[in-house]
Amino acid sequence: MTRGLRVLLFETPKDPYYNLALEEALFLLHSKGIIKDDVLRIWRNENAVVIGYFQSPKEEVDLEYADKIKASIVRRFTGGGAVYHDLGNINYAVITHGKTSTVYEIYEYLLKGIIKALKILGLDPWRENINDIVANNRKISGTAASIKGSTLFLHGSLLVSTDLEKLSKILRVSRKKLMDKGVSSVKYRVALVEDLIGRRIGYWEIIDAIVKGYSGLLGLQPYFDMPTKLEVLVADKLYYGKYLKHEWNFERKPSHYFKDVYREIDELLKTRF
Amino acid sequence: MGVYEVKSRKGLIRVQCISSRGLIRDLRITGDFFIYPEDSLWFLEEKLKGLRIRSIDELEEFLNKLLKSKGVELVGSTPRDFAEAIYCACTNSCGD
Repeated sequence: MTRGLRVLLFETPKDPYYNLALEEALFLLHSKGIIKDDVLRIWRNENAVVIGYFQSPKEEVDLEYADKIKASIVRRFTGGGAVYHDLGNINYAVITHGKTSTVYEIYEYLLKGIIKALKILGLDPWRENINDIVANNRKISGTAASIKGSTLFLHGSLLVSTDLEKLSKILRVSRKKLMDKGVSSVKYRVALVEDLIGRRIGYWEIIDAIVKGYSGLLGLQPYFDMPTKLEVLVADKLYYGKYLKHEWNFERKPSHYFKDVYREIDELLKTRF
Repeated sequence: MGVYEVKSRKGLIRVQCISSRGLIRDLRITGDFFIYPEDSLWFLEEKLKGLRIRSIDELEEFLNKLLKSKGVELVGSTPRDFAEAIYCACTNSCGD
């Protein structure tokens, strides 16, 4: 039985590769039934571009500028677009069980939690174009979902006080996309939560709102927790064997290319149970 | 090598294609689209290699069948979007 919503605030802002490795480890362990409770993880990176599973860094990132400001480039295991992360960008990940037959339904369902959270902060947000969160006609959060067995996964990034100048310099936006959106630059389509609300928001205020949003949606009592030893061991395997690798971050190799890592994880799980 | 981008409802589909005598020799699909299960993108690429390119309609039909048989879900894009991007990249006949 589910005991509650397990909230993890563990983060490695200076090591975005580890942040993403842990994200996959949690999803993997939940899908294998080893993590039993629903999980809400909230975390940040200090200076990184996180690209979608199917993207090519040189098409999405101004690599010269990234090098200049020493931003890391990390691929995530979900589709969608590139995002610039600094400490003003808050990432949230939700892992739960569900019976949905399509991923489209995951978006419909799990975006309700962040909408609740943003309402608590005083905004009037809505879901737009399947999986974006918009307020005052500006995008403030982008999300990406995945599914493994009966485990539903959603993560998103929320622009609270990100440096939009860096964001617009580091992300390359294709001409076709700009024509489609009818705007001249990426920074005119996004907005910061702090600007929309008109005041500074503290870290704990955001955490509190997101926790309330998702515990309310899922109907679960939240409790704060830390990653377990096993979760860290699995994240370590993914970190060294996949997320630190050039093949993963730059060459668009699929997850099954890293089958040795997954085999090692399976062996590790076998010996521990 | 041909390159072509199609902006679907949700996400850009960018295809790089090497073709000769009407056959796809190599191709790579990148972008910010959503496909589930995720790794079926590589399966799709493999199935497209060696295929004869005739029309967007025929490619769409091919993709439709392939996606259906594998239970693949596209979110925010259609097989038609992919067919158009592949056709245009591989034939270099769609202008810009």
